[in-house]
Amino acid sequence: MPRLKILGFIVVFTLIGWSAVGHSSRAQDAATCENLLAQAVQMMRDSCDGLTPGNVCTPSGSTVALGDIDILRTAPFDLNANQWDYALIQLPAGNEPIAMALFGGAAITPMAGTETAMVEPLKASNKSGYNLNMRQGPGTDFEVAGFFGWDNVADVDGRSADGDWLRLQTEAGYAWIAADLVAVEGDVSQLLIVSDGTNPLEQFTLTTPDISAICGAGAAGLLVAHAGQDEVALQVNGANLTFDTATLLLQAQPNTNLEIFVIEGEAAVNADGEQLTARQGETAAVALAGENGLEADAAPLVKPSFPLDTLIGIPMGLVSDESLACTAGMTHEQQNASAFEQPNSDAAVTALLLADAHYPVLGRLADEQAHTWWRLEVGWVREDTVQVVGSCDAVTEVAADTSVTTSANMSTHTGAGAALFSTELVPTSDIIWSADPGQDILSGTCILPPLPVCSHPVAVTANGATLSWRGQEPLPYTLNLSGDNAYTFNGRNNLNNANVTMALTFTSPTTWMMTMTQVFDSDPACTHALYYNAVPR
Amino acid sequence: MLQRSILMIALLFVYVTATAQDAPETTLTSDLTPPTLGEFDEASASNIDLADYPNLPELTDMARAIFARGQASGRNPHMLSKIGDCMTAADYFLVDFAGDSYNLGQYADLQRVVDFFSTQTEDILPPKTNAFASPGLATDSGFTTSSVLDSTWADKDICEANESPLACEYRLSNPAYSFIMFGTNDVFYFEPAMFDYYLRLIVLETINSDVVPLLYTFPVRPEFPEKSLLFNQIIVKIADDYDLPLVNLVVALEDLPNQGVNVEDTIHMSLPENDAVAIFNDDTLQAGYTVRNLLTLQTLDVMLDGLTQATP
Repeated sequence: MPRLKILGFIVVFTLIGWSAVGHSSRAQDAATCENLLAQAVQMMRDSCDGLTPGNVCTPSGSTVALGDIDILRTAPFDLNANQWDYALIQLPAGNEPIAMALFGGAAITPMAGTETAMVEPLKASNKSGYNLNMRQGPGTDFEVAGFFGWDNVADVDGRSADGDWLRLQTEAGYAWIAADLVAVEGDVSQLLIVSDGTNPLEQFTLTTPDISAICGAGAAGLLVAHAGQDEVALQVNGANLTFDTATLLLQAQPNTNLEIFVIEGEAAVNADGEQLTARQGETAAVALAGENGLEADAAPLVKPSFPLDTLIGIPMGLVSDESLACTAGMTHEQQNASAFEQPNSDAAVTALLLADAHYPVLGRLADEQAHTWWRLEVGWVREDTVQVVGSCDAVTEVAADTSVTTSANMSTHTGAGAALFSTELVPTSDIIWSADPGQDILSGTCILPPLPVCSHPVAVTANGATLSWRGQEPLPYTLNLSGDNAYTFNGRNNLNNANVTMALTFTSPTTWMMTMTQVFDSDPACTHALYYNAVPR
Repeated sequence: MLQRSILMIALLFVYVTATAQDAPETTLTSDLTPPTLGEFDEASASNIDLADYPNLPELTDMARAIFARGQASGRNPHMLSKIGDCMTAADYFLVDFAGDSYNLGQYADLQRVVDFFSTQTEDILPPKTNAFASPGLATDSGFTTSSVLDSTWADKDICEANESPLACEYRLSNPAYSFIMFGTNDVFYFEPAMFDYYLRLIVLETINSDVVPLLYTFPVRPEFPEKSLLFNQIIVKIADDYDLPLVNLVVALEDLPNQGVNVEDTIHMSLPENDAVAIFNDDTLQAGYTVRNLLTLQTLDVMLDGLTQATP
C-alpha cells in the first residue's frame, strides 16, 4: 500500500446566504463561525461514526491507517470560501484510545522511528541474577528480542509512559526490558518517554498557522481528549505530555511556543529535563526553536490562565460528547470589565477581569432591567460587559445573595474585596521579596523581541482589599483583591507606554506567583508575559 | 634685628608657599546644586559622540579634590564601593581578584593594584573582607538609579532606619572610590529625564560623601539601541558636568562579539569560557565581563598613580 504523502481535506459547506460572509459584520462572522463548527461536528458524527483505533477519518468518511501517514495537514479556516477542515484520529492507548482532532490549518508529522533521546543515556545492569528476556516493545505481549545476560550492562535511553519498561540500546538496535529487574545509575524519571513504534502518532511534530481572530484563537490546532485511569503519553515537538483524563488544545507556531491549553483535567509536560503539571484552566508553554523552529528548546512554563479567545472556535464535539462549559472573559475590543459583589452595577467592585484570563460561569440571574448577570468566582458580571462561550443556556439560576463564597478561614483584612475573599495567606506586615520573573514569553505578532527582566526586589504591602506592589520603578502599582489570596491590576504602566495586567496569588505566607502581561503601544499585536515566583528577600 | 626680621619673614613665606603647594586642593569647583526633575534638556546630551571619549579615564581636578577631602575625613584609600545592578552585584565583577583565581597575563603591572585593594583593614564591614570581595550594600539584581536612593531596598539588618542603600554602603564600607554603573534596567523603566535626575542625585550624594565617583557607560541593550545611546550620552554629560572620571565601557565593548552582551540574556554581559573573567588573555578579553574587570583595574591604576601614591 503506498504511503500517503499529504492528506489534505477540504470541507465545503453550502449554506444559504454565505456569499456575503466576507463582507459581513464581526458579529455575523462570529455567528457564521459558530454555525460552521456546528456543521462540521455534525458531519463528523455522520461520517466518522465507528472510527476504530489506529485510523484517521476524513469528513467524507474515508479512513486511513495511521501507519500510512507521512504528513497530516488540514486546510486553514476560510470564511470567504466557507471552508473549514479537520481530521479525526483515534490513537490506540491502553484501555481507552486517545481521540484527537486536527483542524483549521494545523498539520502533524509523525516521528516514528526517528526520535532521538533528549537526555544522556544511563547505564543499566542486570540485578536479577538471571538471564532476562528483552522485548520488542514495552510489555510481555511483545516478541522476545533476545537475552540480557545476568552480568550484562547496557545504556538505557528511554522509558515507557508508566515507567515499568526501559528501552535498551543493544548491538542489534533497541530492545525493552522490565525496569524492576535492572539497576540504573541515575534518575530514570528524567529519561525520555519513547514510543514502542507501534503507534506512529505517539510522537509527532505539530505546526499551526497564525490564528485568525475572527473565528477565535481556538479555531486551529490539535484537540486531544482521553478519558480513563491509565496514564497515556504523547511526544509533541520533542516535549513529553502525560495525562490520564484530560482535554487539551495544542498549538505550535514556529519559533514561538508549543502551547498546551488544559480545557479539562491536567497534564504533565516534560521538556529540557524539567517537568511541570498544568491543570484545568492553565496553559503550559514550551519555547520552540531549532532548524524548523518547531523543536522544544526550553523547560516548560505554566501560565495560570489563558484568554477566553482560546476557547472560541474549539470543536469540542469532535472529540467529546461533553459540551464546553459556559465560560466568560473579555473580548478583543474591551479595555476592562468589572466584577461586582452583587448583580448590580452600584455594588462594590470585587475584581477587574484580566484580558488574558477566562472565568468559568457558576450561575446566572436576570435583574429588573432583564439584563443577565453571570456569577463568576470573582463576582458578578453583566452580560454586556463580557463575552461568554460554551453551553451557557444550561447555566442554572442562582440567588443574588449566594453571590460569592465567603471563606471560613478569612483573615482580618478589611475592605469590599476582603469581605468576599480569604486573605489567610497574605502577610500582614510589609515584606521585601526576591522576585524572579522568568523569561519574557511572547504571543501574537511581535515587532519587539523578548525583553528580559532581571530578578529584582519587590515591596509588597497589603491593605485590606488592595495591595501595593513596587518593583524597581519609583511608583507602585495598586492591585485589587479578586479572589482568595489573589490580587489583580489592569491598566497602564508607569511609563504610560503599555497596557499592563498583573495577577498575583499568594501560594503560602512566604511565596507568591504573578503573571504580568504587557502590550506596548508601539507593538500592539504582541503580548509580553512574565511569570513571577517570589520568596522573601 | 631688622635683618633677622626680614629673614624670619622670608622663611615664613617660603614655609607658607611650600605648605600651600604640598597640601592637596580640596575646593570643589563644580556646581553641586541638586537637580530638578523635569529640567533635563535632551539636546544637551544627544550631540555627544561617545567615541570622542577614551576607554580609560583621566584623573580630573574634581576627583583629586574629592579624594583629598575624603582622606581628610577618614575615607579608606584601600576601599571601593560597587554601585549598580545585577552586572555589578555579580561575582563576575572583581570578586576573583580577592583570592587567587586570577591571572593578569600581559597586564602583570596591575598586580600592585590588586595588592593595594586586596588589603584587609579592621574597620571594613564584616562581610566585605576587602574591596573586591563583596558586592556591598548598594548593588543588587534589578536595581535602577532610583533603587539605591530609596531606603525601601536597604538591608534592614545592617542599615539604619530610613537610610538608603547608597548612604548605608558609604557609611559602613567607608570607601575612597565608588564605581557606578546603571542603565541596563533604567532604559526599560525610565524616561531620559528621570535617569538623568536619579543619576545626578547618586553622583551628588557620592561627592558630598567625599567619595570619588567613577562612572561607567553601560553595555547596549539590543532591544533599545537608541535609548541605550541616549542614556550613555547622559552618563557622559554628567561626568563632564561634574568633571569626573569616566570609564567608557560601551566603546571598549564595541568591537567585541555582540558588543560584549550575552545574546541569550541581553541584560548581562557575555562571559568567557569557564567564566574566566579574571584571566586576561586574547580569548577571555572577547567577553564583556572580562573587559570590564580589566578596565576597572586599569582605572584604579590611574587613581593610584595620581592620588593614593601622592598622599601615603
